Amino acid sequence: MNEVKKMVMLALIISQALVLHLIEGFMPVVAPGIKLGLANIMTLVTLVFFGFKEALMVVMVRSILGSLLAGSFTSMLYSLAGGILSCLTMGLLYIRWRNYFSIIGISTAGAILHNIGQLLVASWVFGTIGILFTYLPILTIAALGTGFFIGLVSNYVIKYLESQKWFRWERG
Amino acid sequence: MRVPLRVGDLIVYAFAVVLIAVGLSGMYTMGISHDERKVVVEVNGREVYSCRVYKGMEPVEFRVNAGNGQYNVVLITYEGVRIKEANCPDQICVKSGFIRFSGQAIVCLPHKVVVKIISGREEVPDVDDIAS
Repeated sequence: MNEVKKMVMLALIISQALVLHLIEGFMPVVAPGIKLGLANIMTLVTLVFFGFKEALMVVMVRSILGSLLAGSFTSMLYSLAGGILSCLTMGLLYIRWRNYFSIIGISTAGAILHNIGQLLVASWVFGTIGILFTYLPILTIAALGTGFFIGLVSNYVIKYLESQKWFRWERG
Repeated sequence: MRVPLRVGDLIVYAFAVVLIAVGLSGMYTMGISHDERKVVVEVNGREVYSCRVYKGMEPVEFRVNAGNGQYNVVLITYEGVRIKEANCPDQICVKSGFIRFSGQAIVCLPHKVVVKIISGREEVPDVDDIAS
């Protein structure tokens, strides 16, 4: 029963992450490369309640499906690289040192590493390391803001889910 | 509203500051050199010569033949491009001096010669346009 409930929950989370991913595509961008990363909320929630493996699975399924629904092969490449790198970072920070990092800090670190992953793929695709340096400062500044915001939202979502009777899931 | 920050978050922010510094210093040291430039010479709208500009290149002198014995000598170095010599009546192209950045151009109207610097990279990498 527990396994079934977990599977249903993960399916729900993936679908929500997918919807957030797609909605974000409609949002106007301030500058190229800067976006909120709403789907990261669901990654953080999965990481907190289910664990690292499940979070990585949510990220990968969300990236692949999101790129298939709205995007191209290269967008899948960017999305996967950023998502996996940020998920690895957040998983490491949460599982090893959760007493020292708040959700906001973990989310900010994830946002920064997400940018680095995307820039690495971009510099590989375009065959130049230069864009990594030109985009890094502005993207990192943006990541500080969006990471803070996403971390705050995730904090509220996690608190809400913890207080709900139907969502009986201990923090893993 | 209490913002739940913890000690370790300082490490994240310190890391961010380091990244910004690395990016800015990388931008500074690589300068515009990673942004490849190309020099294009046109006579009467037709491209007759083009070459890449890169750090440590040998200076190139190119003699543009504009017909009827009209000529312009273009000097291309990493530091800049100029028309060294020409037998046009107004000598405006020679007096234009050096151009350095992509988008700049020297024009010699009597000979219908245009020397311009363009970005060697056609598409501007736009990370998120693709990633959406």
